[in-house]
Parts: sequence; C-alpha cells; structure tokens
Amino acid sequence: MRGAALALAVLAAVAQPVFAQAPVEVRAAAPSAVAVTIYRDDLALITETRDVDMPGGLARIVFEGVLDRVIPQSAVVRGLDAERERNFDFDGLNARSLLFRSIGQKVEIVRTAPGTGRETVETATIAAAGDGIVLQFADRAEALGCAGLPERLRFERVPETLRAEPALSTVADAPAGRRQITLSYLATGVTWSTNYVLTMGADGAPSDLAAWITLRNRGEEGFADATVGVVAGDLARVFTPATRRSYRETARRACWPLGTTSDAPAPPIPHPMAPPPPPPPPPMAMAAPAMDERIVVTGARAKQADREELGDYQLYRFPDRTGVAAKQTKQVMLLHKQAVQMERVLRYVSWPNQGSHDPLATSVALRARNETETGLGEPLPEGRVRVFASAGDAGVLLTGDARVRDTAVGLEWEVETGPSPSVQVEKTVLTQAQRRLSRTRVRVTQTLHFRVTNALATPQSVEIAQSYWNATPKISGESSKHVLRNGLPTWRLVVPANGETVLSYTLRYDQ
Amino acid sequence: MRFGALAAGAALILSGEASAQTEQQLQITIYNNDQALVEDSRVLNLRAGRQKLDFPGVSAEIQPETALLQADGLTILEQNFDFDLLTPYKMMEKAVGSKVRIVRTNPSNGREETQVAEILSANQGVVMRVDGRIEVLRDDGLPVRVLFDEIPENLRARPTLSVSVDAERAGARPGTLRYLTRGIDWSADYVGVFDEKAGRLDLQGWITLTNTSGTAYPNARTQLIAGSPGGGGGYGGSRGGRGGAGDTAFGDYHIYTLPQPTTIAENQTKQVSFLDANGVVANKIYDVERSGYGNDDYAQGAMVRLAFANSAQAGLGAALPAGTVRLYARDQSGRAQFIGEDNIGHIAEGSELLLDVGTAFDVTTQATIVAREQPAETVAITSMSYVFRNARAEPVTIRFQQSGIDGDHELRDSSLPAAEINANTLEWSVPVPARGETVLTFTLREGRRR
Repeated sequence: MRGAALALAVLAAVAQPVFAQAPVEVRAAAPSAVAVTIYRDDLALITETRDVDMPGGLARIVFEGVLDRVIPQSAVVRGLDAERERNFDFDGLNARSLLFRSIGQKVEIVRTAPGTGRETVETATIAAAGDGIVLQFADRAEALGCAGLPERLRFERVPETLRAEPALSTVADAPAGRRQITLSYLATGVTWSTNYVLTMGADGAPSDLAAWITLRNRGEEGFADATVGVVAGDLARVFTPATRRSYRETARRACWPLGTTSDAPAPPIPHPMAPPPPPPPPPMAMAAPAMDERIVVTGARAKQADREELGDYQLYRFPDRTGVAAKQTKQVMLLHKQAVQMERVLRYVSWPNQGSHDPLATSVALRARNETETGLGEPLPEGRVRVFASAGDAGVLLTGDARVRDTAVGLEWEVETGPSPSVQVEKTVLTQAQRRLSRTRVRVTQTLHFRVTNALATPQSVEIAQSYWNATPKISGESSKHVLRNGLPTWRLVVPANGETVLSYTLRYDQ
Repeated sequence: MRFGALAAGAALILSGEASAQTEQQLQITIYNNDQALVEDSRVLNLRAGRQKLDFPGVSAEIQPETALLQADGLTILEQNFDFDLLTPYKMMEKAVGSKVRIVRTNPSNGREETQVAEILSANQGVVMRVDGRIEVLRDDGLPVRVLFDEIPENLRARPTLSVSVDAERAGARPGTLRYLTRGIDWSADYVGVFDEKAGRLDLQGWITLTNTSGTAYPNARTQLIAGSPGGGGGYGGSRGGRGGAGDTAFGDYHIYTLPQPTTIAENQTKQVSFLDANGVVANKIYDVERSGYGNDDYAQGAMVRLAFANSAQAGLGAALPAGTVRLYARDQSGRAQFIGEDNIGHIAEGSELLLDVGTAFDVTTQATIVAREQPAETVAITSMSYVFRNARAEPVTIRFQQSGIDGDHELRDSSLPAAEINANTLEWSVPVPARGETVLTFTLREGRRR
C-alpha cells in the first residue's frame, strides 16, 4: 500500500462543495487498438487503447461505444492516476428515455392536416408518458396519438442527462496534454467452444484430429480489427445481476377504449414515439457444420491459434487480427493432429444385484493417452467431438457425436460415441448364495458368466467392468486376470472377428 | 459533469399559494440490502392553517409508510402516496359524465369542426352524446381529437407523495422529509491484479452505487452502511472490526462517507474509489477437498485459490466492505487477463482471505478405492489411492483435505504425513514434480466394534 494515508481515501471531515470546479467533459477518441479475450461461459474481456486530450485539471472523460452488454462494475482504467468517480449511464437515448426525461418540459406538437398536408405547430407540456402520452396545453389537455391524425412531437434538444448510447465515464484530475488510456471491461454475450472433428483411420491407420475454436457473438455490436484470444478453463464466477431498469418507466402507446359499433378492428394508430420494429435480422449463418464437413473432405489446412499458459488456464491467440461482427459465428483452428493413435474399446459394466440378461449392446469408447507418443500431447479443452469414419463406397460417414472434458497432457482422452449393436454381452448368473451376517447385513456370493459376441469382420477389444456399492468385492475363480481401471475390477478381452469369447468369475460382496 | 441540469429531478412543489423554491439539501444513506434512507431538507414557506404539500420528486420506490415530514409548528394531518398515474385512458374515465370538446377533421380538405360532447361511458369504446344524439367516438375511423378542459387533479405523471399539514403560523422554516426507499443499492467492487511469480497482489477497491429508484438525487451527501439492519450482515473475520482511516463504526456496522456530495442520476451506476493497495503479499494455493470416498472416472482439476491477509504487515489492513473481487493476471504480452472472480463478505482488519479463482487445467486428482471392507457393522477400513498429476513446467504443492471422516478413526500407512485439521478432517500437503505425478495412499480405520 502506498503509505498509510491511502488506506481508505473516503471520508473528509466536512462535506466540500461538489467538485470546487466543475469537471470539463472530454470524449476519449475511438479505440486505436482493441484486444478481446473470450471465455467459455458467456464472457469476454475487452481492452481498448484510446487517446484522450486532457484539458488540464478536473475532467470527465467519456468512453463511447462500449459494448451494450458491459458489466460496468468490472471496468478498469489505466493511464489515469487520480480517478475520482466513475459513472455508467445505462439509459441511452431512445424514444422511451427521451419522453421520460422530458416530462414537465415544453415540446412542440406537429399535426399534418389530411387532404391538404398543411402542418400546424403548437406548444405543449408533457404531462405524462407512462401508458400513453398526455399533453397539457395552455387552455386544455389532449392525448397524443388517439385522434387518428398524423401527429408528432418535436423536442427542442436532447435532455442533458441523456447520451446517444450507454456510456462509461470517469472523472479524473490530470495535467493538460494527450494521454493514452487503456480501458478494460467485462461483457456478456460473447462465448466460445471447441469443436473436434475426429476422422478415424481405416484398418488401424492413425486418425486425424482437427479442433476448431468456435466464437459466437450474440450481441448487437462487434469488434473490427481486434487482437482476439480465447481462454480454456473453468473460472470461478459470481452471479452479477443484469443492470436493472426502473420498473415503472416503460413507455407504451395507450389510448382510451377504441371499440366501435361495427366491431371492426380499429385502424392502426400512428404513434410518433414508437417507430415500427426493425426488420428481423438475417438468419444467422450456421457455418459450423458446413465448415467441419468441408475440412473433413478436403483436409484443408488452416492457420492455428498460438497457445500459452495463463495462470492455470490455456490462452489461445488468434494468429491474425480479426473482426467479430454482431450476431456472428466465427471459427479458427485450435489444433490439427494428423496421426493420432486412437484405441477403440467396447465397454460393458456389470452391476451388483443385476440378474441374468439377454445380449445387450456394448458402448464404444475411443481413447488415446494425451501424449506425443500417441500423436497428441497438447491440452485438449472440453468440447464436442464429431467422429467420422470411411465406409467404403458410402464415403465418409458420421459415426459418433460426443462431449469430452478438459484433458491435460498425460491424461487419457476418451470419446464415448454410443452403443455398438454389433458387439453384445450376455450375462448369466450361474449360482447365487446368501448368508446373513447380522440383522441388517447379507453376504452375497455369485458366479457370473459372460458371453461376448462380435458380428464385425475385425477382432474387437472389449472391457467388462464390475461395479459395486459400498465395500470392494472379493473376486475369485476368474477365467482371466482383472486389473483396476478407474477403481473398478476390469477384464480385457479380444473377441475374434465374427466370433465369441466367454468370461467367468465368482464375486463376493456384503450388502 | 453538469450538475445544474440534473437539479430538476427532485424538486419540492407546494400546491396552492404556498411556494418554496429554496436550496434543497439531500442526504442519502444506503444499505446493502437494496434499501436507502433519504433525507430531503429545505426551507418551507407556509401559510397559517391547513394546506397540502406535494413532493413529486420522491423515489418511485418509496416505502410510503416510512415517510415523515418534520418542521417546527407543523402538524401532519394526512399523508398520501398517489400511484394513480395519468394516462389517456384514466383521463377519459374521469371525464365520464362531463363535457369535452371534440374536433372533427375532414379527411379530404383538413377543415376542422369543433363540437361539445358529453362522455357517457368509456368501456369498449367511448360512448358520447353530441347534439342530442348518441354516438361512439371514432366509430367511422375518421380523425377526431378530444380536448379536455383540464387534467384531473389526482392523476400524476409520477408517483407523488402529498402531505396535508396544519401550520400554526405562516412563514419560512426548515423542514425535513425522511423516507426509506428501494431501488438504490451499493456494494464494493475490487480489481486484483495478481503477479504469481512475485507473490504480490495489487488491489483497488471501488464503491458501486446503482440507482434504479426512478428519480435522481442531485448533490446528495452520501453515506454507505456496510450491513443490512434486520437482514444480517455486519463484519465477520477472525478479529473484531477496527475502523480504518476512512470509516467509522456505528453499532455493529461500518459507515463510509463519500468525500463530497455527489449526484446520483437516474438509471446510473456510479463508482467511487476507496482503496488502492499495491504489492499485497498473496499466495496461490491448489486445493482439493474430498468428502467421503469414491472412484473417479476421470481426473478432476484442482481448485485454484488466492490467499492473503488483510493486515498492515501484508500491505493491506482496512475494513473491506462486502462485494465482488475480480482477479486478473498478466499474459506473456503483459496484458491483464481476467482469471476469475469471487464474492467476499464484510472483512474486518486482521482477517485472512481465501478467494476462489477457478479450476486448474493442468493440475488434477483422480481417486481410487483400493479396498474397502466392513469387518463389523460399525467399522469400516478404507484404503485410498489419490493420483495427483501436474502437467505444468514447474513443481506444485497441493493442499488435500479428506473430510467427513468418523471422529473415531485411525490413519495407517499414509505415504505422506497428514495433519489433523479437526476431528473429521485430515490434511496432506502433496508435492507434485513438474510434468509428473504423486500418488498418495493411506488406509483409514473408522469406527469401533461395539
């Protein structure tokens, strides 16, 4: 801490007048450089470098053009020493705010006479603007937009408390001259995810793994020519409520009852303050799947993002400055590994208290240890994997769609793609004995027999795991030796092409 | 900042002949639970006897039952908070039974004709009597304007507090209107830039006010109370709160006073700096906490936490109001990048802070039950194996806690020394080499034969 006096800069003995000298308002120039770091849970950090010409003394510096989904409390300004206070006015200039801030103010009402097109102008005071607009004239009161005449309001000026758009501003004391300031803030509405395309090699050949960073900007604003990075990692977050609006201040067009004797729908009432809604945005480009496919088919190469460690996360920088437009989805290659040794294993889990059953499909797992020996050896962020395989004359087919977790180097990367009806397991409980150990505990002894069938033309690796509840089970008389995998006794079998294999063991557990 | 333009926000208007346009003094005390106490002091110019005072600029979220007007020789007769907002619909409803003027406009030549109409009903169309005949307003869809002689007195543009008073004597005297309102809240926001290599944290604190109460508070003397009367709060921590240089204690709460009057505009978030501490000693901790025993299907990232002391020796030492701490770290290009955020309660000086940062990508744990048996119903013997892996280029130390242990337990064959944190929790400090792993194994016997 810079000296004890800085401990808490609050509290002066006496209340001083509001800024002995009123701050001079200056606008920071548009950003000369923008860096955007995007996180996975709908969050982005925007860092802007801006020039500002300080007038000398107390100044209020306005930063216009911040993202509409800014979290104002997160703003950090660097390059100013003595910041006094910071404001975020989230009421930008719009029809609603213009009306509300003009209550009690004089406005002009312009009417256009039908037939002649002649305009008449009168002055009135806005008396109310909540559910419909009431105007007070010198000699009478009228509602706006209820007569069926073309009417509009004219304001002399924008109320001084309103800005064109929500703006951040800060009050600081600095000597005159040009300064470079960095403004950074967090905003929602932008997110990214990882999309993997895993193309299985035919007949045991290595597989091809491409990973894409998919950026999604749901906001109405974008960035042009920005340095873009994405962070892979789960950050601790707190709930920040969205900026609330005053609940009362919603402008609605409203009139008195407009029913007619003919019960026909009333003609639309022209309302000067409510322009028609903008046309719907063009359908969002769903570039992702098409892009994936194109890459799969052509094996096109793309420039990859650069990775570095950021604390305990991974930071990927886009190779070139780029733009992210409003409502845009954008993809950049995260990594591309062309010779990955993926192991295909068919899994089956035997549950305690489970009886005999007819053949059941196994589930397919594709695995590789995340090491350079297997062709990987880089952090693999969580994401969605689409698995493609060559199917002879049918071409390349989608054979799996799975989610994967963050996988550090050295860990096993596993893609669970779904059931395999071609490889099935039939379980038979050959013998079962129960012995009461006490009033509440029973010791169960089961002899289990598994028949694994393979209808495929290639031998298949199958894993049978024995699950348990509380105490680890005792296993004896096993037809092949088990290992512990992820804590469960597991048997690995190879089932010949178009053939079958059996496994049996005796299981003892207490329940 | 143009304060003059904002002053129109909350003016006191006296109805009738009384008028008082004197300097208004606002004081606002904001609590943590979306509640604020507003004190509006000004000179009242009163007539003798009964009269009505209107306060149209009060917060739209006022709790009217808490409003209290105090002035010398003034008796409150009645207090009303009118929510009856002025709308075209209401205006027409109130006109039922009375006369208005209607202006018909000829759509082909724009010629206007004014008639007098008596409004008979305003319900699914406006029924009126014109020239002795009954018709529905704008039945033909042609343009008709309706001119009302006046706006009904009790309809208002904004919710308005009106107080009927009886003044003993005429003349000017100071008066104070005090009320509680919702829609104004405050909290603290901290920005922490952590330098992992140096083990230092630069911490800035801002007080954040948010006003959505529907009115502005120009040039208000502003106080902030750390705590929520009736709603819990107050300072926690290992030692009792001792006020720093800028705050004073008030009962169990701390009061922060902004150095100068400030204007809290409508729909505004305002931040005022209150803390700037550089080089606070801080450490990164990898935390793994497990309650009970299980097999992990996959390796799980360790929790990254930041520990520092709120003490003068560590470079801090101030009562920190509750709020959100946002943490940043510099990337290789030197740019500050966001790495996580956590909420803190009111932190007294002398307390230790432990902030959640996020989940480590490269430092993981995977648990395996090696064996678990229950030789008797009240006894369990569990052999655990925890694999701690580190894919980073430097060695790390993980703080591992096994909790939820039966108080009657015995630790055997632990591959690393353990510390008893409490009767039900054991803690290990697990060093993991760079790009390597450490396996912690131990056996716990819990319970006793009865």
